[in-house]
Parts: sequence; C-alpha cells; structure tokens
Amino acid sequence: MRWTLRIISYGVFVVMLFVLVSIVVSGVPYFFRPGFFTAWPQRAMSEGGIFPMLIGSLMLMSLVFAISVPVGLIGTIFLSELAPRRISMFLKSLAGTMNSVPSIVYGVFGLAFFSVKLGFGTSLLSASLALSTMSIPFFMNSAVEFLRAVPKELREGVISLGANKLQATLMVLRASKNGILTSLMLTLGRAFSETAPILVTGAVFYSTKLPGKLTDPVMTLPTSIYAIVMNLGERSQWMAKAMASLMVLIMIAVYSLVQITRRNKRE
Amino acid sequence: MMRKTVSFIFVSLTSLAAVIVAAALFAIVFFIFTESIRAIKEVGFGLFSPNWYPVWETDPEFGVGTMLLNSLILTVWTSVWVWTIGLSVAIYLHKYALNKEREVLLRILEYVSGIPSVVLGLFGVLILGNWFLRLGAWSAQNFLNASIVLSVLTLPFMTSLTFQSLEKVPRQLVEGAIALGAKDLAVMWIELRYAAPGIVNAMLSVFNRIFGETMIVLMVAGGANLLVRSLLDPVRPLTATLGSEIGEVAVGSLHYSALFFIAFLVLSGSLILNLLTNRITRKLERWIKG
Repeated sequence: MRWTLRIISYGVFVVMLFVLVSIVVSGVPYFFRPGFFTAWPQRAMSEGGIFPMLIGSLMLMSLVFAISVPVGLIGTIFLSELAPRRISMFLKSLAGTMNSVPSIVYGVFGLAFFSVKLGFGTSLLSASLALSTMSIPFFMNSAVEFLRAVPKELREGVISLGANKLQATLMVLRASKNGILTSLMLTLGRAFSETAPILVTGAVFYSTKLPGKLTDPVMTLPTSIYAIVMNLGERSQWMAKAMASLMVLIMIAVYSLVQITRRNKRE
Repeated sequence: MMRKTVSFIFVSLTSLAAVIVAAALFAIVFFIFTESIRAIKEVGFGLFSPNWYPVWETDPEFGVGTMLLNSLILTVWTSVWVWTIGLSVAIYLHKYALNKEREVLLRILEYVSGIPSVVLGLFGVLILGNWFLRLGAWSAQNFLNASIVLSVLTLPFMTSLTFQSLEKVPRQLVEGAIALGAKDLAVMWIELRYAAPGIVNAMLSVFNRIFGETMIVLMVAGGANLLVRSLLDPVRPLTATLGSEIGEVAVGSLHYSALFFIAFLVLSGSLILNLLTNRITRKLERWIKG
C-alpha cells in the first residue's frame, strides 16, 4: 500500500516538475534578445519584442485593481461586519456560486452587457469590467475569512470605548491587514492569468498603438500567446514561449509573496 | 447627530456594494438567457441535434448534441483519473510522507496551480503535441492530449483540497481506532469517511472546472465536431465552440443566439452542479455528526 502510493506520488511529482521546468526553461533564453521588453513585435510576431502586450496587461490589471478593490472590500465589510446573519450567509453562498461559474461565461456576459448593451465595444473598459465581475466575488470569498478571524473581543472592546461602526470596522481592517493583502494578490494573480473573458471582450491580436483611451482595444500577454500558438507558424513560436515563461515566473513570484505574507502574520 | 449621519452613510454604502455583487449573478443568468431566446424559439429541439453547421447559407444547422456528449465524455474520463490520482497522492501526503517530501510536493503543486490555462494549452500544443505525432498519432491535438493537460490543471486543486480535509480529522479518532486494534486499511477508511464532505466537495469542483474550462480544450482538443470513438480522435467540446466562434459572429444573428444557448447550457450545468455539491456536502456532514 505504502509503496504503491509512494510511486504514484513520485510520478505526479515528476510530471508536475517537468511541466513547470519545461515551460520556464523554453522561454527564458529569449528574455535576453535585444529589445525583448521594449520593442514592438514585427514581421508577424517573428521578430521584435513584447512591449505592447506587457503594457496592455499592466493597464488591464490596474483597471481591475481600481474597480474590484473598492467594491470588493466594501462588500466584504458588509458581509462580515454589518449584515444580519441570514443575509450574510446568503451573500456568501452567492459569492461561492459565482466563483464556480466558468470564466468563459463571464466573457460572454461581458460581451452581451458591457460591449453590446452599454456600447463599450471591444475595449479595455469592457475587458476590465468583465474581469472585475469575476474577481470581486473571488476577492470577497477569500477576504471574508480573514475578517472573520479577527477575535470578537477586539470589536466589542472598541465599541464599548464609544467607537461607532465605521471606527470599529477600520480597527478590524487594520487587524486583518495581511490577510486582505494575501487575498488581493491572489485575486490579481487570477485576473492576470485568465484568458477567456478578455479574448471575447477586449483583446485584439494586433494593434499598431497602445490604448490611449478606455474604449480602445488592447493587446495582452495571454491572448497573444493564444493567437500565436493557434494562428502563426514555427517562426513566431519563440515569442509565445517567452511570454508563457514570463507569465509563469510572475505567478510563481505572486505565490511566493503570498507565502511570505502568511509567514509574517504567524510571527 | 453628525456621528449618526456618518454611520448611516457608511452602512448604506456597504450594503449597496453587496447588492451590486448579488445582482451580478442574476444579471448574468438573465442576459445569457434572454440572448438565447431567439435560438430556442426558431430552432427548438433542433438545438440538440448532432449537426453544427452555423454558417451554411442555405440551411444552417445549430445542433449541440455531439458537442455536449463530447464535453461530458471528456469531463467524466478526465475526472475519474484526477479523482483517483489526487486521492492517492493526498493519502500518501497525509499518512506516509516525510515532512520534507510533503513540503516539496505541496510547494510544486501550488506553483503548478498558478500556471495560467493558456500556458498549459501552449504546453499541450507545442510539447505534448509533438510527442503524439512522433508516436504515430494522426493528429497532434486530440482527446487524450486534452485530457492530460486538463489533469495537470486540476490535479493540484484536487490534491490540496483532499489533503486539507484529511488533515482536519481529529487525532483522537485515529488513536482510538488503533487502540481498538484496527488495521492500517480500517484506520484509513475511518479517516476517509470523516473527511468525506471535503473530499466530495473537491471531486465535484474538479468536475465543474473541467466541464467549464475553455482555453485548454480550445487549443488542445482538436476541434472536430465528431463523436469521440478512440482516445486519439480530435474532439470539440461545448466551450471550445463558444470560445472560438463568439468573437467573430455578427451580433444579433441566429448564430449569435445559438452560441448564447451554449453559454446558457454551460452556466446552468455549473449552477446545478454547485447546488448539488452544497446539498451533498451538507447531508454528509449531518451523517458524520450522527
């Protein structure tokens, strides 16, 4: 029994390690090409660099951050501090349900609602709104656990000293600062790696300029990987490999940061 | 007075944010359903026929039957593998692994769970696909390839969830069983039963994730709308059609509406599965507590 399980586990370990290493290693050498991070792609993505995709992904992430952090945080506060128990449980299960809805559904919804109904078109704005619709429940689901973990005595103590709801909540937020930071990083990481919603609502395969306003379409890292692998030949594949490797390295950095934050909290 | 106003504004602002979030889910269901009404009215039961020829000029057909079946077959086949392997690894980590082994394996699984699905798609096309061609498969993108890549996507999730619920089994329960003379297998059975709600939750979530995953099947499954007959056949599940066609379709056309019907199927599948998961987990929890 023990040995069967051990062999299976080691097999899984080898496969996972292979996937991780082969993706990272196959892309890293291209990072050192001149202009890889600062040039525009040329000749059907077979030369040049990934500058517009990098900036596009960054812009998208900042918009998602700007939309989903305020709404998510305020919603979380309501969920854990203010709502009556029944409403809080109902909202929590709603957020859980939204978390299990496949990401393509958010894309299709974003297309029907933000792009067509509200007339934002294929744009940075539609993409970030569709991504935020997906990230907000994810953030709430994760952050609410940390707010709930703050001991009751702290809240009661502050209120008995004469603080109002707002002051008491600020107190709770300060106590769960690390947890909220963790949720925030995981949320942004997930939004960063999600492809399907952007593919449908805001991404274009090639554009000659960076998005100057919110209603311009955008090039991003994940959608460009998809476009290159599916549509272009072998001479362009190096760029997809390099972007894939970059994305995995960024995700590893995010998870390591989360680990460090958690460890700090324990001490 | 001042303080009361501040408090009031604060409370109403926060409840507004919560209302927005709650409204989002209903808005999603509503919009996807209303956009698919046209296809339901005009095509009717033809939506479940096996043929999907959406852009034929004379007589387009919008049947999702084959895609739905392929989706289900791919999901069930992959899930069974992921469940078995994930459960084995979790049991090993929980019962036998040395501290060092556990730490390293969990860390690797965490990193793999962070790989974006489009990157796993690239791995399937460029690396696994080449192997398949070299081994003599007639298509680099096929059912087995998609199933392997989907397993890599969901295995970390299955393993860590199962491992966590096994770790929550109280020590006294295990020690009591051993004191009564229970053998290894019997002890494991007790632990598995106690952890059942968490494990079932993990299993159904894995199923849900595979059913709804888009990028991987879009890139790796092959895209042929034929019922799968062997492991090396190229297939096209529901989400692949949705992902590849929704970007290019004319807004408001019958084809557009039929694609929303597919989205509606995917969404309702996931919602039903979610309800089922909650139901079963709650029932199991009650059963354990006696």
